[in-house]
Amino acid sequence: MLQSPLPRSYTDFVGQWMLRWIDASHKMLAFALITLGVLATKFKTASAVVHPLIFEQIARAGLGMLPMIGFLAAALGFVVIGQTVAILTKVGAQDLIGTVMVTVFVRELGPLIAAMVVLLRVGTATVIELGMTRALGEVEALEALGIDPIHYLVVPRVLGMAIGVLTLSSYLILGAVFSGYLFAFLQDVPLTPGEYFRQLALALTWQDFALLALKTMAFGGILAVVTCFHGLAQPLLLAEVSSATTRALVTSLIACVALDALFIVVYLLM
Amino acid sequence: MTPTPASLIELRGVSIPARQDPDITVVSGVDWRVEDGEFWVIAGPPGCGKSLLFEIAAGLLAPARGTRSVSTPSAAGMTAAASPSPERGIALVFADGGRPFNQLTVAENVALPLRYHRGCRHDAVASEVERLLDWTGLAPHAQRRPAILNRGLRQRIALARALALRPSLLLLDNPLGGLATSQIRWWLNFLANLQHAHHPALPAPAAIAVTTDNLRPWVTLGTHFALIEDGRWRSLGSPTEVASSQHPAVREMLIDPV
Repeated sequence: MLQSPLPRSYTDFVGQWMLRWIDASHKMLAFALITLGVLATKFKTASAVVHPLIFEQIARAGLGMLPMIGFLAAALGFVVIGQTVAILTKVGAQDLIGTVMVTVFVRELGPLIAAMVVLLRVGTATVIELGMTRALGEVEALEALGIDPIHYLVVPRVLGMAIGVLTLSSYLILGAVFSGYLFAFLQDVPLTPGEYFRQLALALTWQDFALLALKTMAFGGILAVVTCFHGLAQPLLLAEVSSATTRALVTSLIACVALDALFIVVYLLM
Repeated sequence: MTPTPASLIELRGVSIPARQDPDITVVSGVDWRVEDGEFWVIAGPPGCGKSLLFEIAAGLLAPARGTRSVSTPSAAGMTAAASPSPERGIALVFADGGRPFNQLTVAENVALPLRYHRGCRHDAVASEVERLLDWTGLAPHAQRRPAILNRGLRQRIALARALALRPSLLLLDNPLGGLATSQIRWWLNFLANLQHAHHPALPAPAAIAVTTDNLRPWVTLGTHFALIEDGRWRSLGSPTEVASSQHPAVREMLIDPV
């Protein structure tokens, strides 16, 4: 028999943690598949009720976040792009500006920061709202009226967050690119706007746009599924809503970072 | 020989599982058949499994054992146009305030099932909603949120919401629990009208079932009585049989509250 190098209690702890993680992932995947099934089969059902909820969620996760995203775009542009442009120009590596900008902002920072903003502002509220709905028995009340809770509560949030993260990422990238050049301009960096944007255009490929859309919508979908799952998919007491919120935030963060790592592989293969 | 009337719902040999642990049986041996025009009163002490029984009857919970068969749409005799959702022949009003949706106004709560099943805008169901609010005395509160209303009015929102579907079987889980005397009187009058006067809110004939831990208010209204006690289902029969019953639990639920 193999001897574990760790005391038995440690291996038991890790084993139990792994089993719980696998069980939770399995349930979440099942929840995501059910949601996709409902989205595909019931998109046109009760559209007069559900479609306004979808627009409401898009406004909440997209339009409502614009001031915050505007601020972040300006700040990140100044801090990251402005400095990068200045340093690359100093060492005579202006030709790399486009590549660096596209790699840092279009592929990585833009989608990830937009997803984190939506997670903090909308994802948290989603777990609390749905957790309260579940704890107060309103989910059963919906079912008693023949209303599918996934269709009424989850589908609008999934579409809202997916479209919200996509649009916010685009605005964040555009805002950061412009504010970054503004900072470089204020530092008297000898780079004309024409040259700056020409380099950006040269570094961008159609795959970048396709993968940006795919990645941001996947981030939004993950945030929605994880937060809705933690709020809705299991019986909750009012006192458990706060711990469900924490679990949802941590799981969403880990899931987004893991997906981001997968996309890095795709980018490296391009 | 007169034909046996069609049952709206029939539970045969049903065992009711505990909410937290489906392996535990709370009540076993439930044989319950509801027919058109009946008014069932299911009595039992708090926590005996009455609410779980209604959740099984409404199709929200699967029985641990036994069968549940429903034939409400034909019993209702409604056309598809008259009924927003023919499969929703059973409506359940939950206990303790009825669980209205707190993010919607009272009118939106009542309109939701109609709008969802018909796929229409609020304007298209406004007159029906108005009528339901009038019947249930909620018209003055139409634009308010349920959270600011008292328990009795919240329970009425759930009633109006359930009636919006024109159910063939209306299940009311402890509708008088925690209500003031005036509210109790309103509920008893309303349900008497629903049952006897073929109220336009319900298709005629229809059936009503309530749960209670106090039989007194229901003796004149109920047509069939049953008791859940010590995990067993016991049919008590007609109001006369209930009044003359010597069963200690029934006697206790018939005496005046102190």
